[in-house]
Amino acid sequence: MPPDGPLTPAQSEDLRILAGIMIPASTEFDVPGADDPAIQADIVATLGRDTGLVREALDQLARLAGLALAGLDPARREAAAMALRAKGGAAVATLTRVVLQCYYRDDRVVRSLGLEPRPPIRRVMYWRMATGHCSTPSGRGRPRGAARSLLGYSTIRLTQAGR
Amino acid sequence: MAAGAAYYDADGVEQFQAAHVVVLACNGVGTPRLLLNSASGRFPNGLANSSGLVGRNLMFHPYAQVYGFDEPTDSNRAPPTCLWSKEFYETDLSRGFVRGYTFQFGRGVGPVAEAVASEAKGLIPWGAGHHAAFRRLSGHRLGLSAICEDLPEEHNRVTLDPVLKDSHGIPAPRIDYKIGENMARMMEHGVARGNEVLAAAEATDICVNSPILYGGWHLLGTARMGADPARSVVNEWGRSHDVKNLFIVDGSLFVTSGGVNPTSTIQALALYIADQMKQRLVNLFD
Repeated sequence: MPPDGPLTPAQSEDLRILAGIMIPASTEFDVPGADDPAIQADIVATLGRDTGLVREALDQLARLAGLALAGLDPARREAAAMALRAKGGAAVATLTRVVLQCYYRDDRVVRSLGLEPRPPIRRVMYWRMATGHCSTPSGRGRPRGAARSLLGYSTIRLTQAGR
Repeated sequence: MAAGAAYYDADGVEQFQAAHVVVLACNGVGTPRLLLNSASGRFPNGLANSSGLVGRNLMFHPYAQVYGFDEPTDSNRAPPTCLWSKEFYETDLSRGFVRGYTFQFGRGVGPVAEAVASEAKGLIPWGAGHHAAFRRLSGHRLGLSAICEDLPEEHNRVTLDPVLKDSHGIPAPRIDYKIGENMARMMEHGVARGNEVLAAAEATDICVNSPILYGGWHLLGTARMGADPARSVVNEWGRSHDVKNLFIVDGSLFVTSGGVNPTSTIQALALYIADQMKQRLVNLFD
């Protein structure tokens, strides 16, 4: 298997279970776990050049667990996961980063934090310096703060490259 | 005089672009790499390198970062970097080092960056306590980074790697760099002052990254500017001392790093050199 090739089904399943141990679903905060199918799909699509290190971390996990996580009871799964975290190293750090990255950009999770699931600047945003608030052409944007303008009564149109 | 530039095109075919004037803008690693790889019978130590200084005096901006967590910082509503202090910028020998640093204040990061950083610091657990721990920290970060002025030291340098080559077989750059004693003391000072600020703010979970690994590694100083050809690579308006139609307009010109981010200064130098070239057009190569 080339280092950046896709994970095997067994590795993908271990990754899913491990991600769910790292970040479990919570009814208290109304968020999915990192083993959620959409988040898992994002993780798989995101691996890219990190695949080799993620695979290495999953190999370490398999050695610590003794067999696939799916074959273990919850307590032994968690023990193996915590042993992996304690072991640390570049491979484990990479796997952890990928899981966290995909989890905390999921729209449901972002909303649960009281944030809007969008980039900091919309594709087209009108920044009304005179009135000190932002709004979008669709009118969906809400006033944001009361920035004082040094530019006078001007309107700045911010457009992403390629648009 | 330089005749032009040889390069590989997108198909891997070597091409040559003739030029009356050659302007290098590859910054503190790419520029010395190109000059050293341009060695010839006439310039056995690399182009524009009669001083032996091409690649030497490599400087960065090691950042000494301290951060903690306090009241909500509205970190999702604006860029995180929001305040600068020059209180420790100028030399005060009572501090135990020369030159100084800019203190850059930041107010948090987005959810992904917070999760990755705080998990790595052990502030966010795996498992049931994860969500509560994350929410206690997210949007509450207050940090200070000392942007420390690196000084030129000839042993900090870019050379050509004797083994590693790029996909065209061109020698890769090799970097030898060590944080000096002056810098180490400056960073310790920045960490101590940062801790004082955060303690006064009653911040919790204070963490130190000194140097930070992911930023501040600006590439400077490896083709320094100066009037003396024995002590510099280009003259005071950017022209090589050795090759009269070769100019450099990037961070390699810097003779010290300054304690600020360098892009604006690089841009100003490029504009200044372009203006000098225009004004001296009649006798540019004299």
